[in-house]
Amino acid sequence: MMKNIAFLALALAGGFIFQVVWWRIRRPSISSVLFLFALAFIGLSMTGLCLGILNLGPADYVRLTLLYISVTLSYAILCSAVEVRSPTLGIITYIADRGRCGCPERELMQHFLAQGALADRIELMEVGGLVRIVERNCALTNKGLLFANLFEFAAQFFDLPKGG
Amino acid sequence: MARWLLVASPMLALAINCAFYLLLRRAFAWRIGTSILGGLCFGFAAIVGFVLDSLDYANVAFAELMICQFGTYLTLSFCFWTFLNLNITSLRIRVIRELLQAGGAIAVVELLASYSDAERLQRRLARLLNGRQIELVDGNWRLRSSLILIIARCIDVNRTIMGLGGG
Repeated sequence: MMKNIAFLALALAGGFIFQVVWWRIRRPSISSVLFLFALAFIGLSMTGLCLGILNLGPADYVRLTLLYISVTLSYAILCSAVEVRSPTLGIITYIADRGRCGCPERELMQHFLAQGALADRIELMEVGGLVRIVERNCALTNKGLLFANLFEFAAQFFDLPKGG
Repeated sequence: MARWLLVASPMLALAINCAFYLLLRRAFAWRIGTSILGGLCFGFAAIVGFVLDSLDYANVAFAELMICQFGTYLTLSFCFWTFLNLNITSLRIRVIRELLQAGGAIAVVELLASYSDAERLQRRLARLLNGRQIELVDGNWRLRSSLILIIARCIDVNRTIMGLGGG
């Protein structure tokens, strides 16, 4: 009855296992992860259709593909959260590790102000091709400009404050 | 035709989610979090309607249909929420927007000075405090919600699996 969902779970598990192995050998980019999951899905569904394990009409196949794509996109989002640890979650675990008494305000400030998170992020952005640093100037690359315009538009359209 | 409408229903429900978010945020000036939840609920009601309407002609098991349609809608909504949230919380998005507003380039020193680490930390603490995730008692920060700690621990476990180090 739930054969199709089981197939989907198998494709996701396959993609995940391949990714873990790949990540340990050479850290892939998020786009490579998406490509890997697409390959796992196409490979398994072709096998399933050829062997007659999957018996789907076109509408059902599209429905399953949409579920797979949306789950994979959500997973890619989680991957980027795993790749670069969120400063907010860092604060949460730091406070939690201090136990029931909590963490003195001054200690928290001293710990997190010493980290220089913004400088780290700019470095990561340069590695990711969003910005380039030339003669102590930080400039947007074409990729960075595309994302900057997209998020600037989204902030105005969805009425969002400047964050960070 | 009706079968293909069912296929497209998670996307239609997401469009309804976005439309209601915009309506609540722009026309009624609701807070961002409340508008997101409102949009999510309207989209959810739409997908429930689509699924119930399709029971007569859908040729798949009810449980499978529920998992597929709700799963697709909820994960697409998660992507939408993350997109909105990036604008509010991401340091990287803030930096590229600062650069865009400065004409595409700015001195690194100036960029670092535009958003100090102290301001960044205060902003995050304020967000956590407003979200009732932490509290300040007698000069000590304490955890108020265990849900966010569970998320943080899950991410740490994933980092360990990926070989990136736990904390």
